[in-house]
Amino acid sequence: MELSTAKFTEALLNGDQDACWSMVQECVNAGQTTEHIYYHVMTPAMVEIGRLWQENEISVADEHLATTTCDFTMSRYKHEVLLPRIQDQRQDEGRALFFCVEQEEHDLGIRMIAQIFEEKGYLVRMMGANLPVEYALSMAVNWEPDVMGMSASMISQGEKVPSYIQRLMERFPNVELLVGGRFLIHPELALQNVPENRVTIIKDGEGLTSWLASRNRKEE
Amino acid sequence: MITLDTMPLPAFKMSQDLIILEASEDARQLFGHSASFLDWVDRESRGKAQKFMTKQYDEKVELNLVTTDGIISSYILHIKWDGEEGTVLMQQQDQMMMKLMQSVNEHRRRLEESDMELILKKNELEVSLTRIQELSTAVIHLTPHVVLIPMFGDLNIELILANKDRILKQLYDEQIDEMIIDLQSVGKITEDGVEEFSLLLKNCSLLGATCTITGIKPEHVPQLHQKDIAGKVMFINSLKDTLTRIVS
Repeated sequence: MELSTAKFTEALLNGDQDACWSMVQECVNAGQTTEHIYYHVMTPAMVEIGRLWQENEISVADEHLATTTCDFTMSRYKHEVLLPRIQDQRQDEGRALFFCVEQEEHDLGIRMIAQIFEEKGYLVRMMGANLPVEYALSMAVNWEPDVMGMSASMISQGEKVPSYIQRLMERFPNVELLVGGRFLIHPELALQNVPENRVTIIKDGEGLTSWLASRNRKEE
Repeated sequence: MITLDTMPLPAFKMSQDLIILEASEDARQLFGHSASFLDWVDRESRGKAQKFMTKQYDEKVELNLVTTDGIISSYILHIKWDGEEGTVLMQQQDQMMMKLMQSVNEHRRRLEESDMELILKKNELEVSLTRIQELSTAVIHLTPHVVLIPMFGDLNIELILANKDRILKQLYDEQIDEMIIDLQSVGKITEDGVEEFSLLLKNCSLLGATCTITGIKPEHVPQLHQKDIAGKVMFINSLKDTLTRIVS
């Protein structure tokens, strides 16, 4: 684990919003990208926090405090770094809608992704945690996104992903679907039978980076 | 004798390999009849259960358990070993605290969203303002070559700057000979507004349009006079007479 991750994990567990923010500011001042900060500082810290719970070293309450602190840091990043950065930029890359599947409450990851899409010039709607498929469908009917990204962390929630994919694919033949989240590490949920031209499995940050790059190439 | 059913919390006894030996009525109602304790545990917590529900760890463990209704919730398990037999008390995580944390989080998000919404509203207002400024100097054709521009609101630099290009372009494109500007509905006139207005009039005459100003109120006179607008344009006191001349 990188030193920055260890320090960030500690600050999250202490609920120390100021320390978290000043570490993020240091990263920004050092010229690190949003992707780098989210994929290589915040995500590993939250993964470490999950591991500490599995190891019985911290309690659920600690985990909640860390989550809220991380959430706060991301909101602050959005308002103080991201929005000024994109203020004069055209958001004309397409419309992207993001959500977590029903009963999935772990939404930090998908919120990171939503912010990255905003920075890349997409118009973004972030529906957050726990979105039943009917809501996803009606939202998409009204707003007409080009891309829809869904996330699941827990295995039991990951099992709902195939039915989301099927219903969204049937209803929206032109929408590209992205699927991500921790459930993908379980091989039995690997989603092998999805059509590759319609659905992209995003295993990690690098996966998203290359999807974004290939989409740009297609447009050119 | 203390039996499991007299315990204030759901409880059970298990062997070292997590086989349930005996369970209280409460525990069975919540989680059903199962041979192994692992059947009560959410799949992703099973590894943790196997690691920490053993004799070496004589302390509390947090696990996600699945009720008979299929709901996953977090429990604190207190274990006491007596030889080969472990007695476990199951305490559901403090729901009050979880709810409080959740609502604090929701409030925070709402604040963030309202902040966001304010920004969006501000952008919308800016668009409306530009539109209002455009409408405050609409160019109305009286004849193909004569236009009337009734100005509304305060005559300030923002109003003129926002509209001068559009007005000049229209004069040029449509070969306007005569332009009547009606100041009747103008409120305040600012100094830099007059200066810019004067420049606009000059540009209009360069494009070959005769400018006439009407509807001047007494309080506007000193400012218009200062900027020497009087020398550049013609003033009329009655729009009606001019219109009659144009129409006839």
